[in-house]
Amino acid sequence: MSLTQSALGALVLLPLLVAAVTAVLPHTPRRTLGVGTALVLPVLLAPVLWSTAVDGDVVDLALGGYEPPLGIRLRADGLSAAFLTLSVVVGTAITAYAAVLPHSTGRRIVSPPTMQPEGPAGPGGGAQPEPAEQAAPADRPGVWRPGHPSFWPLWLACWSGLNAVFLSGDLFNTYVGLELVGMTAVALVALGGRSSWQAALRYLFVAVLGSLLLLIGIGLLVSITGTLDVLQAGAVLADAPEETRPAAVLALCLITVGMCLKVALVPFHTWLIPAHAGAPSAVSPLLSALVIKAPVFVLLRVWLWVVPAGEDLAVLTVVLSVMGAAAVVGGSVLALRQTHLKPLIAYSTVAQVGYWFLFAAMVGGSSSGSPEGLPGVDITEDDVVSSALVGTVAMALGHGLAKAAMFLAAGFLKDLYGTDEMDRLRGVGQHHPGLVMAMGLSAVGLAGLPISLSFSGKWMLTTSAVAAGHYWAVVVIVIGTILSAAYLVRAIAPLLVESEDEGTAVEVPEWQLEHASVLTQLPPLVLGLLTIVAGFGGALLGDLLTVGAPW
Amino acid sequence: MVIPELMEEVLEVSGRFVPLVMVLLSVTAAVLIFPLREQSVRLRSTINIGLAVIKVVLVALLVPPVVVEGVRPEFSTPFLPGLDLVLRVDPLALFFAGLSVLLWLLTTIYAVGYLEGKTHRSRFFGFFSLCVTATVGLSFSGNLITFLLFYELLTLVTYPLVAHWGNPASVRAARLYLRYALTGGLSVLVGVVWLTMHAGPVDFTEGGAEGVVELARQEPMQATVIFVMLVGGLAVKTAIFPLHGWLPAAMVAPAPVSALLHAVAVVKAGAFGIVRVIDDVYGVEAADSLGVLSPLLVMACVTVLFGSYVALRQQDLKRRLAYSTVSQVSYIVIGITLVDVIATAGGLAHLVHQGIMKITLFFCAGLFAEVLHVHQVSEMRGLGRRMPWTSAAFTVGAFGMIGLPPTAGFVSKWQLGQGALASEHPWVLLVLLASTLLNAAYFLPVVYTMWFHAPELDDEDGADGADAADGAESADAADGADSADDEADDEAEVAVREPKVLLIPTAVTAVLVVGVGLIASLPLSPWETARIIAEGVFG
Amino acid sequence: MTEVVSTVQWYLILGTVVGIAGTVRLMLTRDLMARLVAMNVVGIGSLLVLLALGAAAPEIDPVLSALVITGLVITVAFTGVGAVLIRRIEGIEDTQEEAQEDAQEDPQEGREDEDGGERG
Repeated sequence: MSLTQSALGALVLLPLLVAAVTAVLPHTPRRTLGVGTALVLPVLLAPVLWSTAVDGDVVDLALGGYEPPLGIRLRADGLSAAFLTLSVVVGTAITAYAAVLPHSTGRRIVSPPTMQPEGPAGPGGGAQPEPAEQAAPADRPGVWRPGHPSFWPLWLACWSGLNAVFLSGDLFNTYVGLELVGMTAVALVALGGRSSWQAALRYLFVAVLGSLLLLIGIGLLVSITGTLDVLQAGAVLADAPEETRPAAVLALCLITVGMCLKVALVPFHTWLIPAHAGAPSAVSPLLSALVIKAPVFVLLRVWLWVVPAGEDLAVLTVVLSVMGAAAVVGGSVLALRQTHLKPLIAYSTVAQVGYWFLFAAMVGGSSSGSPEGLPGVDITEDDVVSSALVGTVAMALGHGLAKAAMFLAAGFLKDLYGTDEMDRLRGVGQHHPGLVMAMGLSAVGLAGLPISLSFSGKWMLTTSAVAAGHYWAVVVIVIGTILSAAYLVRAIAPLLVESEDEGTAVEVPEWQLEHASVLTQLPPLVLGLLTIVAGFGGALLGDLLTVGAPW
Repeated sequence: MVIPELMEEVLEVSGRFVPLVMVLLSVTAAVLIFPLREQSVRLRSTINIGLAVIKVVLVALLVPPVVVEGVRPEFSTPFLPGLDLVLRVDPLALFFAGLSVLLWLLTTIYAVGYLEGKTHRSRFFGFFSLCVTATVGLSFSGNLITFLLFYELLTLVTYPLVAHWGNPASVRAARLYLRYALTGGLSVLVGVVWLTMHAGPVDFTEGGAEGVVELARQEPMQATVIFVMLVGGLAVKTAIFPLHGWLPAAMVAPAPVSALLHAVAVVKAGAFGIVRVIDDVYGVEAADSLGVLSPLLVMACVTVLFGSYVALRQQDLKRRLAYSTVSQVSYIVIGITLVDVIATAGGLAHLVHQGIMKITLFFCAGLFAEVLHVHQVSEMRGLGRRMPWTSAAFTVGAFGMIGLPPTAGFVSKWQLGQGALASEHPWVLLVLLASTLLNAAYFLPVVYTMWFHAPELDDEDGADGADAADGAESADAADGADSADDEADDEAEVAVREPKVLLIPTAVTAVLVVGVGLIASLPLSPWETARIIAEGVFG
Repeated sequence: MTEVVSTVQWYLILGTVVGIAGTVRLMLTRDLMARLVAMNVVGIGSLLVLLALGAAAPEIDPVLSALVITGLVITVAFTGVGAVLIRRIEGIEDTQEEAQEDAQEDPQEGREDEDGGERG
């Protein structure tokens, strides 16, 4: 087993292991272990990224030496490496933020002061092993304290699940990884205190429904192909006899609907708003930047690698792309109407999700007639799909970076001032120049203005839309860009302007200000800068995605 | 034998990186300045001015090899699959970059003095440096996509500058500006994507990019639509009527920003873009055969007259100057669209000349507002005696705007007129004449009021009243007290102290207004360079 | 042989019907506990489908059985988390006065409820 292969395994197993360990440890070592993991994961990512991006190899590892169909297989091709990088980068940044500011990890009930003679606990400094489990809210009224030590095991397990999904070479792993992500994500939302429990429960129902649909879809695929391995299944389906085609299409439909639920594509988006807006400050960015990327990844895998394109998918692709377009426009309009910062950002996620589904039109379009012959440019169907893929992945990654920065900044303001109502936060940006800068940078990324990764993504998507003759997609992208710029300005501009009415200005609680150190502004700022810098990586990403591509 | 070859190679390699270095220098300035604390004035000014001087020197060093010897340093890096970012130095690029970096140096000095003792200076100068980045990048852009990137960047980084004071009025103006500029930018974006789809990465080439010329021949309809999208988007920044609404509103910005927006950065970026699209993307011939130039010419003429007329009716000095800009920038567009070597050269020369003249005027307006709180034309009585140096500079700038010899404005207007007579549209000469009359009508009374009316020494109340009504300069409250002190001291004399830091850049530009006009026939003067560029365009 | 297939089809149909019934109930009811049960019904429906698929092959497919078992485990785990959440939420509703006190402390609460209402 080579070094790279071990790194591949460790990327999945290490966070899981640490999560298990931290679950039985008191709070302070949890934090230390979490930070340690966050430091190790980038090191583990490096060899994987090196062999995919530089050498152009697909890294393959059969865990325990069992070969498919029964063994667990990890594979890192270009697509995996791209999403894995996002997971590691954003994960590390947010881990750092949560470590510096334990307040942001949620709210917990602690027993009344009589049980705790030391008086008010510091910022999550309490050393009770499982305070959340100890406290019974119904019969013993406890005191709410910021900071929740359960964040660490949950987040590390979630991280492991994300990496498992992104690295999985077989559908079974994908399913298990996705479940791990879903379960921990629900629990992470619930850390936000009682106001977030309802949202967490709704999220739970949606997640389970989506997973079950995925499970049936996978079962169907297995019953047709006899294998769980992505590549093998794809190969079998490509030469499969006519009569198995309807089953394959049905499986694709089920998986697609399931994933649409999990990714909150309009009209399944209602669960996302309370969940993402109500989650603790360190959790919202995880949910928006990483957790919803897992189902997107699964969709891309299944559509491009497993089930071959065909004309019988036309209806599905049309429905998906229409839903995508509706999400872009509808999500943006709803975002414009928000009065609170975090719901606005959550609606912006709904809108961004739509862009990723415009991809379906390109997959469908490439099969229904050849792309338009343009003077001087020869474009094949694969070119259309591959540039649409690059565009979609670039937008997804760009969204991950930018949204993480945005949610971190918004969450910080909400924690500090006790509200995220935009009218009341007037002028507070002047105390946090770094934070406003981070928001500005990520706003450029979210609106897809140059220079940012999302801009590169929009460019590629537009190019392939025009090549496939889907001019309406261009219109959708343009409208989406205008609307997103509008709501982002609406979100950020008030932070810079002093309130005209002094009475409504918010005051900063003294004891919290001391935690508003420069360090806490660093993770959002770094993510914001990355959003911009990554904009120069469009060509690199394009090369990376050809590694292990199905064409 | 080996050593000269090696030297040549080193020069060649380093030459490739010159445009990149130029862009990175300003980014460096921004990165260094943003985290600085408010108090570290000296360090910030040193970084700012030091890097600005280095840039001026670099541009000056580039002029002989590029303009005379025809060297074209080029740097390119892959951006998207099949698309490269290209930075290339050609005479037109150098022309615009030279204007930017020189005026930027002066504006920076001015801004250091202007913002003394005010808040958020690190933010201001950080974005200021990013603005230079965008402008320099814009001028060196070697293809359409690179141009687009810097064009949008310029929009974004000027937003915080317009909103700098942070009061509701400036935020409103900034939002209006953003709305205009982003919509225009989007139109350009769609045009660029469309054109790139059809013609591949559009490299700026004298006489038109290959694929585009081909497209214009085969599919004139599409080529026309794309042209309209591109130029329509650029026209927003150029403030061509009826897309000029943001410009007068943006007057709430600090004076150095107004100077910069109006003289160099934003409006000129638009005009420069139009020049690039017509001359280097479509090529004059192809554009002419599409029949898109004449409508643009008419629009530009309408803008010239409209801007001058509205300027005449403005009582606020900065607004009058703003509408004057609306009118003057369209001269450049007139020059390009007349399809004539002399006219094109005249238009290009006006790009530089108007920049120098208008920045002088805005510097002066800033001085008047800063020292005596004069915002209205009616309050300018006797300023000639109270602030003689500033008034002199203002007068020179105003004469330049009108086009009186021997100022720079005369050179470009004269050549434009000659070009108009030689072209297919001799009637444009009438437009130029009418506009000159209007210019005189709104500048001469100001000059007359300044010099030949007795100063009102008890205008403090009036000034304060205007201040309150204006509201834009409310952050000056502290300085108001300052100048009141000054006036108490100087009660015996009429003259007031004119701050040196503000006055020096103003004087330099005023001297340039005359100097550039006088040396117009010397080699490497703006006019001669413009002529070389125009001859290149017409092959 | 035909008989076997038809049995399998019966199970497929049964699983689908159970699954759809569960989904409908899940979406229509407001009662949290009922929704949790409905979620389990959907789970059972889908597992039935999977089992039927496994039985459709000439010999029973072990991979599908493994899927069923994993699905069961995961559904149980989710049910547990859901039950804990429901207990906590209903705990709030039981202690009304306390909730009101908290509503002042936490203005999010009311908005959350409105959101829930929209969907029902």
